[in-house]
Amino acid sequence: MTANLVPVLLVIVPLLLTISAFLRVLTPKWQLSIGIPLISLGTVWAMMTHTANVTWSLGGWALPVGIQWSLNATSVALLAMTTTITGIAGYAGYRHVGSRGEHWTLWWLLWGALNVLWLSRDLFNVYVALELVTLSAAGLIVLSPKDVHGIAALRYVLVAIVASLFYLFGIGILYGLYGTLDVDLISQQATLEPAHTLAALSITLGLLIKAAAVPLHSWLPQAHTRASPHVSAMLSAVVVAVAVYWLWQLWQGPFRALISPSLFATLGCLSLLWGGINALQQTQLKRLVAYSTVSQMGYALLLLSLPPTLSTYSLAYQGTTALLVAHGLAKAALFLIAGALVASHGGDHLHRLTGSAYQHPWLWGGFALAAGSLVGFPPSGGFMGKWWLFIGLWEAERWVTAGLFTLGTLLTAAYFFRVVAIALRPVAFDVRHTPFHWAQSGLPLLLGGLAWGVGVVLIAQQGLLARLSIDITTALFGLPALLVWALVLMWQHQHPSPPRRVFTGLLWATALAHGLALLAQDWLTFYIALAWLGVLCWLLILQSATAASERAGRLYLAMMLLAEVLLFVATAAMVTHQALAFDSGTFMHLSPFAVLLLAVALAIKAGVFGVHGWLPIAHPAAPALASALLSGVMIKLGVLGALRLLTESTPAVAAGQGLFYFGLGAALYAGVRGLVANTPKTVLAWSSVGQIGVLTAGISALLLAPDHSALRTAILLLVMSHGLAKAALFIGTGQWSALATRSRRWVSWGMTVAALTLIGAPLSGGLYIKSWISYAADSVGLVGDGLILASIATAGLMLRFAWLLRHQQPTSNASTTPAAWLWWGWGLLCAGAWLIPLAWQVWLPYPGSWYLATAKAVMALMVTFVFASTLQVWPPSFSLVNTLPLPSLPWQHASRLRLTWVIERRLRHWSSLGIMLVATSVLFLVLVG
Amino acid sequence: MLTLFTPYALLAAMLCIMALVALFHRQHLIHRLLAINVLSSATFLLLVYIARTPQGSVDTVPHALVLTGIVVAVSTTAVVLALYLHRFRGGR
Repeated sequence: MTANLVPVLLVIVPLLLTISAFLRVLTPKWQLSIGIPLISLGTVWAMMTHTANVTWSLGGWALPVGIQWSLNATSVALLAMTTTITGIAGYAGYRHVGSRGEHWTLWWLLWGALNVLWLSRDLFNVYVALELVTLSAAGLIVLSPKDVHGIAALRYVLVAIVASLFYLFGIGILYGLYGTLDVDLISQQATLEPAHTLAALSITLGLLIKAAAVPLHSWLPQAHTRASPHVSAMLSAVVVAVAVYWLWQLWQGPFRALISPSLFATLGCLSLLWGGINALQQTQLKRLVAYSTVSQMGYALLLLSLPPTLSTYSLAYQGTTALLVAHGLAKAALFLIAGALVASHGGDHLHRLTGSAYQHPWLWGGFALAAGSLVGFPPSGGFMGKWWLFIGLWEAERWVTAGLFTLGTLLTAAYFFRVVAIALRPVAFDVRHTPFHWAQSGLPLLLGGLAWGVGVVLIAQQGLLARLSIDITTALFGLPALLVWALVLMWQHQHPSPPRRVFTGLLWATALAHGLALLAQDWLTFYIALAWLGVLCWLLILQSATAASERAGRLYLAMMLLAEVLLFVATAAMVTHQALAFDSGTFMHLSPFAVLLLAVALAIKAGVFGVHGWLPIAHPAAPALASALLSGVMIKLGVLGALRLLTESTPAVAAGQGLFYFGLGAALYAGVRGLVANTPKTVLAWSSVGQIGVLTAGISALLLAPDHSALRTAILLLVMSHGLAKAALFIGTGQWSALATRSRRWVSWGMTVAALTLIGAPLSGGLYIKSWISYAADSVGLVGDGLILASIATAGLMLRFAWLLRHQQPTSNASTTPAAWLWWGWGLLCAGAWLIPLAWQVWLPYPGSWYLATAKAVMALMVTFVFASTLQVWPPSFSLVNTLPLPSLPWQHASRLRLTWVIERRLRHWSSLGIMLVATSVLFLVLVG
Repeated sequence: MLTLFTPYALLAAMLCIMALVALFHRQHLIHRLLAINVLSSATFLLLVYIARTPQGSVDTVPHALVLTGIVVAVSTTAVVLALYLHRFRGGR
């Protein structure tokens, strides 16, 4: 009985408020303080009762004549989203427009009509509500100060009326066929007559226009851009979602038998890509966000390309709903932020926003949250939605759609990161803008946070995460991390370089994410941490604030995002097989294709030869402390991922044979490239590529014998020793130019120790590790002595490094040298790299001959010295053409990809809409009829 | 089945097509609005046509729908006309 109050609260209350706003009975303040709590109460009530399958027959009329309202899981989720967004946008709007009576009349009417659309099951009722939404939305647009002449509103209203008439036409045919308007009753009686198909065509066209599916989207960017921020938020977040929801309801109900996967796959992918490409080209923030709506609706359409018989269909449906909810929350946040930025910067041209992040950090924090959810960073709501939808696509084996899906995600990432990069660009002036009212930055932050909250709640509900814990792998990876992190953080505290609080904050955040990655015992946690580290490291690289670092950051980000997307695909493939905990042997059951994706992604993360392009550019460009972290501990996470997935019970993989020599070749290649590098940091970065080559060789030997625990330990020791040594070398290099000649001598001793360990000099820990790896490689039938070549390459690199450092002049202001105890801590890193591996000799004595190993090491050193002395003078400045694996993206400025620009302009013509309607109908009839 | 009522269905279809062609072909705003009105009339004609049941009696629901539809059509026409005026009087 009491459940009857739900429709009263959700629909009657807004309608009464419409009347009172029209008659000016209540002031807007009172309307909001009465309306928002009551409607929220109704929403909460609906959420509690919807599982009981309550239905409401309006006026007591029973079916088939009466109108029935009810709720299901999807509509309740969307209803909750509507209430949240409309409530928050209403509050923001109150601050914006104040007490214009006509505005609030239309606002409550819009809200009431939207609630009817979630509740109703009657198709004609839906038509009336759709018309109400159209008329009130058009009114709200025309009241916005940006649309003085009502051009955007006029276009919107004409297009929407045509769409509604298409819908009504289809409804008429359906009533003629089945004698009822209830969507569930029609679903039961649905036939395959031509008239039924015609109704489906007509209704689908109408709803596609309202959902702004490409090529029928041309009304959206203008309407959503011209409106006031809170109105745009409503239009983009909720009004578009309504049309998508009814497309789902109809195609899952009455038109279920007609379903043609390729129709919605085509339309969805078209929206996804076309919206994304156009968003990338925009020069104005609001237009960019509006095109992003077009693009994101493509995902929602993709749900209908899945056959409902699929076993993962309900998961995909749930995911797409989550996607729609998270999109709404994030999009509302973005429009509110854009509005605040317009007010602050006098326009939303992207070039005006240069350096804006430093002036409005909270606003841009909200932007980052919202954009992150739209891109699909784990564990946001956008991520969960995309992930589950992708699992559906994967299981339905729709490979082309899946490929375009990931491309769409990359586009989304590209256009949002472009904006963030502009906002983060350092500015010379430091004008403090007048601070905002808390609501202006607080509300978007809240909305963005909710978009992430959706994802966190879903993950928690599914119980996908395993408990964090420490095992031997974590311990050995954690040891250098702990030392390096402690030193770096203390260094930044004592002697900040660069002295920015942002940098310090980023370092702490990175430390946290890194810790999470090390402690993760399941793939999802590890993946989440890895994704976060990718973004955080990008921000760290940007902190050195040079042109080189911006270019390096771009390349780094592009490759990391590529890796992220590959990992995303592989994660979806993993979950279709089984659980995600590492100890459940996930790797064994994957298809070769998924393993390949995973391997490439981890290789990018680690900087393995072939996909190492970012490493020698990004590491030198970062601030010294950040490059110590990047080269010392971050790139090892790719190795950690490989070791985690390659459990001891995994069967041997024959590909290890070739991969071993590939790794050795990589070490040699890195040696050659490093020798012709011109800065010490670049040489060190190439040495990291070389060491990752050695690690690749080690892991490929492990592929041949996954149960070789001594080899596993040796690899872990190499990771640790290299991490310590490389971090020490990078920090030393960063400080080098500021050191006086006297201190240089002490520091150079420490660096020599670290460098000799890397090379594997006699008596060093490096030699112990390399000897073990080559011994183990011999034992599985590989030529272990090949590692000598890697040692020679490393020795050459270290000589070149020393030569470059010797020729670096001390700068005049050598006064700001860090405290001595920091240098002692630094010395600990160097000593640790040499000594700690040697301690393992106690537990894991080297079985081969020490004399032979030492002789080989001495030989390697001598060969290098002979080379060095014959060459005498190293080529001082000689650089090979940088062969980047990626073409440069149209990133810096919105370069107008000419063709898409022309086409998009043509589509805006009124007559083009007619042509596109015909084209879509033809597509429909070809694919469905 | 060609019956006495088939011409109504054909007429509805014809009006519909004519209205759509005019809607996207004509530039004049009033023409477009008229085309929209013709399109809604065509839809109403279709609804009236389907009100006839196989038994020969008349179903009243479509009539109610048409009445509601006419109300909606009148109000949308009014809104569009108001927007035209708003535009040609040069905004607020």
